[in-house]
Amino acid sequence: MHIIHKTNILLVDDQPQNLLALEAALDLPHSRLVKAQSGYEALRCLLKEDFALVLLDVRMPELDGFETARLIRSRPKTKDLPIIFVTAESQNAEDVIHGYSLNAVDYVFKPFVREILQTKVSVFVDLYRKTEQVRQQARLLQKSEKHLEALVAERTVKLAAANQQLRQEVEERKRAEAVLQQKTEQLEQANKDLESFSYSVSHDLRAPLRGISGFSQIIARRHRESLNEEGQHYVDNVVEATKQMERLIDDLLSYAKMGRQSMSVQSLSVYEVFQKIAQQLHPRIEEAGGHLEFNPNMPIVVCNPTLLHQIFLNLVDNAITYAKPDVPPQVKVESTIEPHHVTISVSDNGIGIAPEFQEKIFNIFQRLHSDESYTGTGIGLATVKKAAELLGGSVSVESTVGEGSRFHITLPTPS
Amino acid sequence: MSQSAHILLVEDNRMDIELTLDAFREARLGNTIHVATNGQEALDYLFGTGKYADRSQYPLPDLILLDLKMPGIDGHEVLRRIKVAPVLKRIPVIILSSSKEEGDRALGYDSGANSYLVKPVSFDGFIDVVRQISAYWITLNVHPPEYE
Repeated sequence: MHIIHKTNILLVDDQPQNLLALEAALDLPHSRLVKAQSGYEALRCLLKEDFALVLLDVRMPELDGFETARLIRSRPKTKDLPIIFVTAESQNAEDVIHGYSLNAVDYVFKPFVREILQTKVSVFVDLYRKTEQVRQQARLLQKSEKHLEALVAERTVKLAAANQQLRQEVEERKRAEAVLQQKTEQLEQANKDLESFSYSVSHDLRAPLRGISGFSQIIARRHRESLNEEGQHYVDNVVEATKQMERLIDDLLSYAKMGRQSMSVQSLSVYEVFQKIAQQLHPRIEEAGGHLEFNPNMPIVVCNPTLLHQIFLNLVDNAITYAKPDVPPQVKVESTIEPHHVTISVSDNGIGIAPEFQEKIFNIFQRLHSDESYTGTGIGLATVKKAAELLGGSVSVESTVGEGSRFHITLPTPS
Repeated sequence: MSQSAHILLVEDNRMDIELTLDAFREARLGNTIHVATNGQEALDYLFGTGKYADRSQYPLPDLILLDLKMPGIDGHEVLRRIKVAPVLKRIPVIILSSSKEEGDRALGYDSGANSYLVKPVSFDGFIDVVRQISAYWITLNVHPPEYE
């Protein structure tokens, strides 16, 4: 920024005509000429205003030029003010030396050559202006530095506050994560405990069950004739109950085992999975006069083979178990492929599930039917749900009582 | 091999012993079955120590049916000792366990079991299992030469 103020030049001479001559000679742009007719007047002017230069006549009554210069130099404000002595050409060398000893910057001899005077004065005016500019810029710089400092300080404070808040948030988050981690560990431990508990229970239950089952069957086989009708009925009940117990233990065991086994993953054809299931359940389907329908046009999924097999084995097995009396079960498998997942649906023409039970059926030991009418253990669908979730998928059901059910298994496809 | 084969049944559960013996009877298999009710007794029998010193009365078996879960010396340990003993290591050992556990199966085969069967729950199942054991391991399978 360059603000050009008018530059003051002080002209000092006791002779008004000399002042006029100087004034006439110094017609400089952006300059203001201040005239003083004595040393004292000059000093007064210097008190009031700033000047770029003093043109000072040597010969003056009362206070001469040299004395005036000495007084100018004695004041701190004006001690470096450039002074040009104006003197008659007749002036001797002694005067000149005296002038320079007072730090006069130059001498101009009367009568002066206008161009020389102008040139000399211009030099000082320019110097003054440049110095002023530098000063002003320094002031501006200082001002903007201060502004900048203030800004920085303000920002620093804000940043510190933001940092503090961030730290607090991080702390809180860490605490929440730690709590979550702890909860997760507790849950995992509880799950592990539950699984190992049900595993050993299932295992240890088998030994006495074998005794009950084996010996009741021996009685039913070898000693049936020696029992009356009531005795035979009771033995049949024991044999039946042990079969149910065995199914229960098998299902519980496979449910408990699910989280324990290592989860190897491989590429699997859903079609081949259903081929195996069809083979495995063939006797049951045959016995029920039913039909399992699936087509080769089914997706390939990447997941654990045991879990996938368990899911569909349970669904198809249920579809056969929960058939309507005297209506052969028709089980149909369909699939849809979407960008990030596949859905495989198993539908049947069975007894269906009432809306209020459609959520509950996935809970372990949730049975909707008495033992007499249907042979389920209440673990099959819990197994399906757990297996689907272990595979990163989900299970859902649509059903109408008396018409049938449709179970959907959704599995993620690798991206 | 004739039906007079000797089988050593190593089993601690009294009812399982009875069911197995009964199943052999029911299947009308005329094998001689010796029973050891724990791991130590099995080893005593096999190595002919203590009361089993008389080999004419307690001959080396042609087949061993071995339970895994037993207190003290368990089935895995019995199997390991059989398989490092020159006189015993050729005798076929069939593990007969209620465990389908992967770890048990792996350890059993790793220790040199010749077969791994899961105990059936029903008596019919037992009969079926002993019939098949007899048909395969005693009738069909060619017996290893005895250790000289």
